[in-house]
Amino acid sequence: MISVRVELGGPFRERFGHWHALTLGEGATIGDGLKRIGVNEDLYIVVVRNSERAELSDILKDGDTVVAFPPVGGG
Amino acid sequence: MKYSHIKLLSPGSLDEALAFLHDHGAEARIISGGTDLSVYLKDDLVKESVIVDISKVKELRYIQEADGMVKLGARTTFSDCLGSHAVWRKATFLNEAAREVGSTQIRNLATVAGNVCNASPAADSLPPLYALEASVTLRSSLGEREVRLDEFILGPRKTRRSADELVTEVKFPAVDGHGNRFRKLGLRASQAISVVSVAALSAVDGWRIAMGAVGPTVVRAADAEEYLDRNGLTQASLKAASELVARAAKPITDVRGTAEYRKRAIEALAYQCLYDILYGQEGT
Amino acid sequence: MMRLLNYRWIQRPVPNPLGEEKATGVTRFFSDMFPQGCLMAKTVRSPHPRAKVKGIDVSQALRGPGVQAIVTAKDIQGLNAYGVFFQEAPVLASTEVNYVGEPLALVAAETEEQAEAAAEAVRVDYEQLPFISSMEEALGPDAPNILPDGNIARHCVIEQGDYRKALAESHLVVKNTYRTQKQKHMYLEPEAGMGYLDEAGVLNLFVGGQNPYRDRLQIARSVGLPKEKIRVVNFPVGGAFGGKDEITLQIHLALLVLKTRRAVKLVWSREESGAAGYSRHAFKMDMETGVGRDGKLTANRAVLFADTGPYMSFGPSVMDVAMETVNGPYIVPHYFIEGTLVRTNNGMSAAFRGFGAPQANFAVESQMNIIAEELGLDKLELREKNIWRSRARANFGHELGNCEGLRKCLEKASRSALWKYRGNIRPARPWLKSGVGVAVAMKGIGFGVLPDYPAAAVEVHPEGHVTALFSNPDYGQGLIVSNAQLVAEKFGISPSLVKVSNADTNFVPDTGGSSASRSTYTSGGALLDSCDKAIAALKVVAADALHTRPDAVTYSEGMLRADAGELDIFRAAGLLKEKGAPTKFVGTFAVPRFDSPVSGSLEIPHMVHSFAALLGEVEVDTLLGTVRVKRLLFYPDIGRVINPVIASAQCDGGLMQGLGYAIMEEHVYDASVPKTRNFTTYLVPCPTDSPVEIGTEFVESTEATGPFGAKGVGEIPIIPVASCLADAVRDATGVRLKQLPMSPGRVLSSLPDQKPAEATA
Repeated sequence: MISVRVELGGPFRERFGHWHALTLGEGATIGDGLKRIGVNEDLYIVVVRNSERAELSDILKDGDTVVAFPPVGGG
Repeated sequence: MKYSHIKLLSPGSLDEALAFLHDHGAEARIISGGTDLSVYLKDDLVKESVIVDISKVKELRYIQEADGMVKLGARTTFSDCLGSHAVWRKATFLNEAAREVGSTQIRNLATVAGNVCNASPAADSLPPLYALEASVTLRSSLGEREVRLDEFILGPRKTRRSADELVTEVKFPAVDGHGNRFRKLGLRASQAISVVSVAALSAVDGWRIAMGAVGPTVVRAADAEEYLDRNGLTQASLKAASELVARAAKPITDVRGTAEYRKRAIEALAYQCLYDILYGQEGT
Repeated sequence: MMRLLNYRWIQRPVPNPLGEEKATGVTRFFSDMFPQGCLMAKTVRSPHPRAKVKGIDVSQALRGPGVQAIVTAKDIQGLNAYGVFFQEAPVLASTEVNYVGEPLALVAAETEEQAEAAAEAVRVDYEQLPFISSMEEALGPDAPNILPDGNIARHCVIEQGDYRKALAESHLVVKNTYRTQKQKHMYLEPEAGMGYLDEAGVLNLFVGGQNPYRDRLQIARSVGLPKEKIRVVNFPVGGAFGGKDEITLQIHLALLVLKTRRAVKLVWSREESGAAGYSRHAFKMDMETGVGRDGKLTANRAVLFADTGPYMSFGPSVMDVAMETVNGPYIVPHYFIEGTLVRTNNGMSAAFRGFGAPQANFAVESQMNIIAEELGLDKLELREKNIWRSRARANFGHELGNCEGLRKCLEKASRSALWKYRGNIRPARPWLKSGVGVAVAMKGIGFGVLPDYPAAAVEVHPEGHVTALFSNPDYGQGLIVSNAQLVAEKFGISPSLVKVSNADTNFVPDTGGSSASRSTYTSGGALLDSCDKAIAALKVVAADALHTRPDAVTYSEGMLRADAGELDIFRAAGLLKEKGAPTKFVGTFAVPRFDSPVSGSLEIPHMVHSFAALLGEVEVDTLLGTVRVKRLLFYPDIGRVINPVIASAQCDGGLMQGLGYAIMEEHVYDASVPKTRNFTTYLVPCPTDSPVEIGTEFVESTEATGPFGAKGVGEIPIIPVASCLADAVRDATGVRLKQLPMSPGRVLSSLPDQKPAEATA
């Protein structure tokens, strides 16, 4: 089992909460982790693992911090 | 933009141009610099089937001073005007107006005669030409005639030109006056359509004041002219004269300004023109 | 080791390699491309501000000569909606339309003329509905709801302390209402693009945009393709200013290409851009600002309304920036800020250089100038008493970084001759009055609390050059030069050896877009990280070649050195290549953000800000009401200046766009119909409107988190212009305008009725 921290950003916060501590099975992907908390927007999402860009299919490691957010903008 | 149905004729001489107009005049538009017509084409406002392009009629591009007249051939551009000593000496305010036409690129193409034939009440060259009591020469394959400018222009885009005629020349008396001035209010410093404009000329035989964009055609301020002829231009008569100019204006409200604002602006421009003539000030 | 002073390749006016070709018309923009066999497309648009769509009949149009396809909402496989934050705007309307210019169908034909004729032949059966043409109407009791959730698209209140009590106890309270207008971007190249399907079935889209990766996701979401099957290229673009930050015609182009399976070109006419393109939000701002006898601000109450059009797009974020800006860069102990984003049928407002900052700045800086006048204080001195101090706790709970630059901006402005001798200007005619005004500005860099993790890359080529790869489009800012300089500085090699690959989802990492004054800050940060990674990897391979340990290898000016010898980075890259190792290095940058966003907002607060002070001199014709701007002297703090010529040019452009906003530009809607759709009716400043003197003197500061200390320059110049010029007009005439633009009619009617004779008295 691995423990990861998932943080949501932008409009996702209002829908899925600010952050979650998750325990997942070995081999779980970032996408699996996000599905666990209800985030299933695979077409319109940016994921970052330990401050570096990542893909939903990337395998999670113990202690990872993931940030997921829609690719918003602003001023 | 739909003009694949339009036939383009490019005469190389005046005679050829007149022949084309003789044959196709009724369904033809004349293009010279093209700065008005290209906009009309884009907006689908050209219903004619033939365009006669006179830009290759080189013999019409001249500025002459002869017989007490300054003569501008129909192909004379605003840039030509700005480079002409005759125009500077005899009608400085026509050059002040020429400088207000569009941008350098527009002035290099647009012609004075085209500005006259387009007959927009906001045309920059018209108030000075009205004040100069200019006239136009019209030629057709059958002959030539001369018409006073204020009789030639009937309203926006309407003139007394017959379908087979070409305006070949715009001319005005080479007046030796006591000063003249043109001022225009645009909503920016250049490349702006006139909100209102005023041309004032103190000719030897009397005052002539004309206003642009205050009605369907350029309007002369007869009462103000008469008042100045009678009283002379002094610090004391400035204000009353400019009020009389504004009284002759019947402006409308549109996207560029309200009628009320235009009226105030006419008075202001008249005041500023007369002030500069009175104190011998150059344009700012 | 990073040098802090005496840089070699930054702070230098390295010329923009594209400058000459753009100035001479050589550059081919997407609207200049005519690939062989390319179809031309046109858009069928609503002529009504609000109507029910009862039917769309394309049968006659389809029979037109040369017509290849007509696309309607039925052809949309994915989501028929777009929007960066909330997907409210239909890609193609099918049941109702909510603004003049709203798209309903797309036509592709062999020629432009055929496409136009077919677009006119599409029959749309409308039932016109009552529409909403102002915010007052929208909030009125009998207003119809534009969207089911009502006409208030978003509402947010931020409050600190007890503003009521603080205002009641203030020595002076200044209360005013300010109004600003819609502004259009008026880029020279309107919304335009060209697309085709390649042999691999990838949809290639060359479009004017500001954020290729985000656009790609919005396109994918609507057309139902995986994002890997879509390539978006956003370089070169003929101007954007925020107007291409949201989707414009990208999804339309994708739908047309997918339906025809041919190359398609779609270019909006200026008039289409004037109706369907975006605008700057019009604001109404009720302000109540209190100050103590000592000139220290006590409280601010700001109630803001913005007209966002029928669909929100960037509205929430524009309102956020306005709310964050409306206290100015000042310590305000008690405040109440309320923002209401209102729906109307007046076309869509979205991003525009400065977001809501120019609007809020007009309100707060006018308030500051009025307060100074009422207290009899020097206007710059009043600011000096109230400005943010470094590491102080700011208005929104976060600790500020380095604000030294702000104080220096004020200092520079107050020392200028224009400010010291402002009473001595004598105009040339009696009816002309001169005046000098002042304003201060702030602009957050980036997206505030929104997560932002830009990635970029450098590739070291054995052939002898380095490529910098980033996705923030250079649509005229000069980013390709300044980023080449950053990489050159970091590697210690000439910028002529640094090539750039820009804004192409096939080749460059996702650095995000060009907006929010973030491009240099974000792409610079990610590029420097890429350079670090490259140098580390090159050291390893060099150590191998020089038979030593990587930590025994030093790097400087393109050379890797150890006791045993040396080799240059290109040779080292060749060794990497021989080993089959990558020579391209992706770097990232985590933009610092405050962990607790202000409740109800999306992005408040920002951590890093650019600042500026602006002095402006005007000459007002008191008979005509015309305002001629004679001088604009700008003192910005943008952090480290990477390229002074390019940064000054950004400032000149921003100041001129601000000048237009202040005195002439207004996108007029009459009964929800846009009246100023082209350059004849919508006036922007010409060269002849530019001041006699327009100058920028940078106040250099160092932002610890920025690349070589840089912040951002894109937006700060436009922000203080309107408030500064309103102050100058007040100084000249005694009358302060609280509504923009300060057009001749508006100025004249606000002046006491002055007859010519009195003007000369």
